Amino acid sequence: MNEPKHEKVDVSSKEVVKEPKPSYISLVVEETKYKTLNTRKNQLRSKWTPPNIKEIKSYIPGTIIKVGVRKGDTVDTGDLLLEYEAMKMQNVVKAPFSGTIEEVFVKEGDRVPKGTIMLKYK
Amino acid sequence: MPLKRKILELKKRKEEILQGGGEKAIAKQQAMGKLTARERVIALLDEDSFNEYDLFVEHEARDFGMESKVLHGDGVVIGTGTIYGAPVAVFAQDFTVAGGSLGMMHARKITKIMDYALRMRIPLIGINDSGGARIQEGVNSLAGYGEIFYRNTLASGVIPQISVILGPCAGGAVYSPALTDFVFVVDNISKMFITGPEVIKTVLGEEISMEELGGARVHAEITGNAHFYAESEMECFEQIKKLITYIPWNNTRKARRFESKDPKPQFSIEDIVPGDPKQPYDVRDVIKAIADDSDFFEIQEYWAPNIVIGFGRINGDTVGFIANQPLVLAGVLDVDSSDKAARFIRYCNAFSIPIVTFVDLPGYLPGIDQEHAGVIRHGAKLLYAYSEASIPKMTVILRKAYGGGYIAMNSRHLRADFVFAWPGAEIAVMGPEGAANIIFRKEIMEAEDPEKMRKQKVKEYKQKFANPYVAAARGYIDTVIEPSETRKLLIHALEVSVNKVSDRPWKKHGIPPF
Repeated sequence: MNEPKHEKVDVSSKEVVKEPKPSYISLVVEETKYKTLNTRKNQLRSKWTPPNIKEIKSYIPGTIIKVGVRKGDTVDTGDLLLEYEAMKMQNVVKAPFSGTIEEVFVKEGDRVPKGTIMLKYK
Repeated sequence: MPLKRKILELKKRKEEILQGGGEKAIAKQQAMGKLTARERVIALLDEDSFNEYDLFVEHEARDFGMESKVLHGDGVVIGTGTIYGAPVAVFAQDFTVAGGSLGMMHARKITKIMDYALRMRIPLIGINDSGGARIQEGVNSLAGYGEIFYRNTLASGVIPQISVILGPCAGGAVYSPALTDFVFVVDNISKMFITGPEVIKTVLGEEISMEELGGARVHAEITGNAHFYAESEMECFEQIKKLITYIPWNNTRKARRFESKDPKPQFSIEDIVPGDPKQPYDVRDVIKAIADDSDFFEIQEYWAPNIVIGFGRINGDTVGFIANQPLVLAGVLDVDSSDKAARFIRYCNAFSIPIVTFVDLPGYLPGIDQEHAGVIRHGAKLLYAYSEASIPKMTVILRKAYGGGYIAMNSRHLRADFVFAWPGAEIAVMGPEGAANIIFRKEIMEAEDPEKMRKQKVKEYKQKFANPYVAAARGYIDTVIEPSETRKLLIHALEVSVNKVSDRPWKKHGIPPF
């Protein structure tokens, strides 16, 4: 068996993100501040916002095929709000509770990405 | 026909097949900065060690005009060879032949070499460069993927499985690499995703390039799907060869033994870790101050860098190193770092590689997104993996070891075989600031100068509890050592653990928090 020459190969010393100087941040864990580096993924963390139940959002991306309500309409729980096609399925969005529609943001044929506010209760 | 002419005919047939998809397709492959399938295998294996099988295989598709198409070797090269003398089985998809698309016979060649690797108990290396399923072959192509996934699972933990992504690897095809032990990617060449940019654009209306969606950097840094990142194919092959030197052929053998070498003198172990637990340092320097020849082969260097994992040797034998990295995010445990370390522990355990853990962490990363991303479930993986592992497990507490983090990092309570602490270790239920604020809340609130009182109480707490001796008094750590004694003690600990017996209740398998 040949003796491996792997010792000469240094493959672990590069960096994907080349930083000229380490730029430290301070990170608080259990009330203690630590001096440390950040990561790209940590910087990309999005801030959490509490959900607003009055906003009806698309839970998957799709295309609006029917809008069942107009601005100012009053709806009862279970009334059809809209239908949209997504992932080859026709999804029916029903009123989660009764109330008045303050605004409709979409019309038939609109393509909506995930998380779009489609309509809003008063 | 005399034999000589038959030999000539064989040569002619082989020559034609070895051209793969032909000059034009090869030129295209080269223009993308890629080697061909056979060039790759030859570059990876020891000189003249590669033997190819099934090169005369032809597809059987009879629909959509496929009956008139000749696809040399059905777009994949399989064979066996050696790396530094160690036998390996290899398959390499040939993008020059029908885009390396996976048809029935293509899949059968791959499963054949997988079966061979498993039967012979030798490592399997798969080089992926494929446009995906061969649509013309319909459900037969899907069946092929299923057969590959099944074998990946069967072989998991029995033989090392290595996946090399040297081109596109999309849709269902990504799941074979995901089931294997180590995934290698190369900048600008590797592309992995379930749904590509075009689908995303049609369905979501979001535009993203292949590179940004599933390029090498993304998988090395953001998703953690890749374990090794290289800038060129040749560098990637060097990484694979190096990896092979650290791991055994299969789960019944031990990794190869090398001559023991002292660490390099520039890694002075007493000068690396600052006394103030809030100050950062690179924990890899501690590993290099302990490993043979200061050689540390890091895995998943760019993903979850707040924990460091990788192979090195102590006294000639391979060990798996796991260390909190105070340099990045203070070395906290979070979703990704728990996941990363837990999987590595299971790898080491499956292949009888002892683990050495270095502890210096403040606790878990606070945040709503962490909680919602399931830090409970992912964090539990680490506890599970350490508790479950029956290989020798050593722990060295370098500095901070607070709270749940202390327990998770291979503590005595999870059945570490040896736990050593440096004199600067702080083994406590939480950091002094947090602890003092809770214990002395009343005194601090009622004091004339609360800030002054708080500082005083923090100091008191530090003096009393921020040390290794409270834990040592209960036997939770075996001894407090000078940093310079660490290597010697680890060598000894590994020596006495050679015949370790670990009795467990019978079970089919546990239910780890996947």
